[in-house]
Amino acid sequence: MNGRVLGQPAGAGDRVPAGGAVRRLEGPLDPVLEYAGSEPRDWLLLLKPRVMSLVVFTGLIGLLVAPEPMHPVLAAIAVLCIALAAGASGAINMWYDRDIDAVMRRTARRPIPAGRISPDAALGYGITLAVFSVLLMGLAANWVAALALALSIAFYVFVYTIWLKRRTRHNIVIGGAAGAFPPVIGWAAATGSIEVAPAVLFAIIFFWTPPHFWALSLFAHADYARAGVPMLPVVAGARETRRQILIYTAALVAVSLVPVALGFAGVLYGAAAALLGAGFLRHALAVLSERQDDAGISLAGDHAAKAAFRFSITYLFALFGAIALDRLVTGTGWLPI
Amino acid sequence: MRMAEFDPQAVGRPERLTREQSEAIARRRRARNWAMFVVLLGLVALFYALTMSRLSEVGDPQRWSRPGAIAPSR
Repeated sequence: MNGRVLGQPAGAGDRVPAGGAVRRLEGPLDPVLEYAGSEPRDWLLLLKPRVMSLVVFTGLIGLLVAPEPMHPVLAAIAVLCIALAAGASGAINMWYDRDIDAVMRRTARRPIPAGRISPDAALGYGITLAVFSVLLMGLAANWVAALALALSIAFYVFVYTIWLKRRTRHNIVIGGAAGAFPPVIGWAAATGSIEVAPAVLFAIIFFWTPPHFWALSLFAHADYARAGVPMLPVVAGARETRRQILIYTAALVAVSLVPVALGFAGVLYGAAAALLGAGFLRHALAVLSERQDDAGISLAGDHAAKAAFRFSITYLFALFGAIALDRLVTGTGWLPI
Repeated sequence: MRMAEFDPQAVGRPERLTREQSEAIARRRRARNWAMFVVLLGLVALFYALTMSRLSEVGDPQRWSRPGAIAPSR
């Protein structure tokens, strides 16, 4: 695997040493707030609330489309557990990545690099929430769901954050599996088992993650290069990234039609998946054919990549919404409406 | 002789704070205390709701006939 960062000697981009071989972004500290400690809001920010919303939504859909009914209060607690576990993973990720967060413009104001929360406190907070969410899931739903939840946290922390993120250009491809767990956990919470249907939902998010993040990294690659994170545009160049976005989007569209082929979803979902897939493919083609220089760097302000990134979020929400709606219409889920 | 109390949050803080700094510290400490109160209250509500929902799943305890059950059968 090639983890070398373009423009740096071999090995230089493999790991940013804590404390920084790279220059930290210096910002003027507020002379008053520097000594005032954290605000409650900082502890919420440690949970990466924007990432959490997508995780909660896909977990909820996994729970709703399962064939077994679940007590509404216990279902709500199960979704809360998925949210807490995602937040815990985010907090531990911020603890581990505090050195590179400090050198990336997008993340330099996070509570740890900004000095509002100490690294030790953030780690303790993350571990406590992780353990609490797993135990609560076991008590509220079942221990199969709790095990899947624990696996998702472990995968995000150990496989993605610690092992892959700074070592390989495939970090997002393999590590993306961590974000694909929620529908499986939701299904397991309702049924106590893991079957083919939630595995397909897992595959959809798995194939959705690379084009989503690579679209982002096309217009944020300077940040990743500064931090030494071997994201695809940094390591293989923007041109190759554009090509990979199209390949993974085509794979995603094919996988998104599998629920129809398996009889797990009907015509309503099939039509939505086809339409949304066509839209995503159009964006991927626009990214590929955007006006660019020889290295693939956009000459149009990364307009196509930004549009593809925004559309990818809408795509996932709409696709999972469609599958829930389809199950509601056909009466195969247990939605209490 | 009274030992000086150790305040971990004071590490790195200047010995003399301005009025604005003192007020900011007090304001944030108060906000953290309120947040902790809300979290603890939420935990009480959460475990109450969890227990009641679990009980409703297994039915009315008064109707349990199993010997040694929590509630005696009628």
